[in-house]
Amino acid sequence: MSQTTLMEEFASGKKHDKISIDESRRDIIYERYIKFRVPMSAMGHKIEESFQRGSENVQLINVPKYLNPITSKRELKFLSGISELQNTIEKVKENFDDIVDRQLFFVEFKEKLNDLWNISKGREKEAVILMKNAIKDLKSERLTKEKLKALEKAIKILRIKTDKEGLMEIDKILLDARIFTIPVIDELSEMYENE
Amino acid sequence: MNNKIFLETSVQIKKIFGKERESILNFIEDKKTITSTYVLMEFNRRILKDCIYLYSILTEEETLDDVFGRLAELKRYEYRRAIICYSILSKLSEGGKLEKEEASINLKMLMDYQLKRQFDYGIKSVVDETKCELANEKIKEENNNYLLNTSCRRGKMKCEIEKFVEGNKKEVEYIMKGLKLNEEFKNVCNSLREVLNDSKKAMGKNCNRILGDCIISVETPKDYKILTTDHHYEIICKCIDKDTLLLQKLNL
Repeated sequence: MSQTTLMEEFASGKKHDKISIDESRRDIIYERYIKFRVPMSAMGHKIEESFQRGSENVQLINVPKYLNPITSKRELKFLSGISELQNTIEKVKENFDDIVDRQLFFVEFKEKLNDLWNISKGREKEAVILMKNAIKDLKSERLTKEKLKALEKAIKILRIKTDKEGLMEIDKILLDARIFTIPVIDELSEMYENE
Repeated sequence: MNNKIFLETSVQIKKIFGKERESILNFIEDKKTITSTYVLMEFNRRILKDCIYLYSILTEEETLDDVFGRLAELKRYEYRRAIICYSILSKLSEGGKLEKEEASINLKMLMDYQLKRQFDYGIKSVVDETKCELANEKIKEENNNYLLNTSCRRGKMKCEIEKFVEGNKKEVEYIMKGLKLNEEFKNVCNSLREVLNDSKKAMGKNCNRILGDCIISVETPKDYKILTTDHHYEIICKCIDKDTLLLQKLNL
């Protein structure tokens, strides 16, 4: 099992402690859930400082330094919307082998994405549309573990960057898993023939 | 099977918009797949240019219905462009069900990065025999509209089409001889004759509009097969002993 960070645990909304064994099988990793508060405008290093003040004997590793400061309640709402998406994808993963649960949680995921559209702004909207396009024609029965993994990766990027670079990265991840973000316009090629 | 494949414009469009796109990507994945700057120029002149036109109307009009209305009117003047733009908008707006804002964002993403990124997807290298300057033209955003130069004016653009014709004179002659009895290629043969007499005439309309299939056939390296949906390539490539693969015959 790979080592996940407390920050990632927190970001993905998993509010529980976790024990796992590292890849070398030499150490047991104990991950403790800690709640701490930071100002909404905090950047990556501020988050790290606040975290270290609020926790003792805990080493914080791999804090994303590129986190943008949260400047409004709407942004916070958007980020928590993404956390909900991550939780729902986790549920789809956990229940992947049960076709009924897979369907129910995948539909829930699609609905949550629609909710996210309503609270998104600017580039965020582009990111949400990109994801919406990706899953529009993706039905739960045809969902593979590889495609699910790609969606999971894409949402992770959505959380940290919704700029053009982030969107291009998402597009690539999805395309690698053969998830298409552009609708089929089947006769287009023929329409251009002889031009 | 030879694993060297050249993607020409019709297949590049299919690779992005066709219902068989997943199969195309899987087919080219483990092959030495290439394309060319000339193909990119054709691709931009077709799909990207139409997206720009459509976006301009979307910006100008109040509602999606108004845009569809404009396209209906366009049918009277430019039927094919109207049908193409109608198809694009219809798909990007889910048959008009979406709000204008969502359709505009979809179109913006296409122009901003999706088209170019997906054009390059699966391509291992890009042939640049003609050094077409138009292929390097970048889309520009100005006053909430997009601009792209796609017109080639003889003497005004920089490229090496003249040199290309000179360097491949034999192949151009073979194509002309091979096609001269085919009525369907009458215009092409007239252009080829003109270009062979004076390679300066290659630039502009001849290169940009009439001789596209011939230029792509010649620029394709000898050991590569041209993957296409256009049966004209079969006829042209036969004249210069090059292979083609018709997408329709692959049963993907």
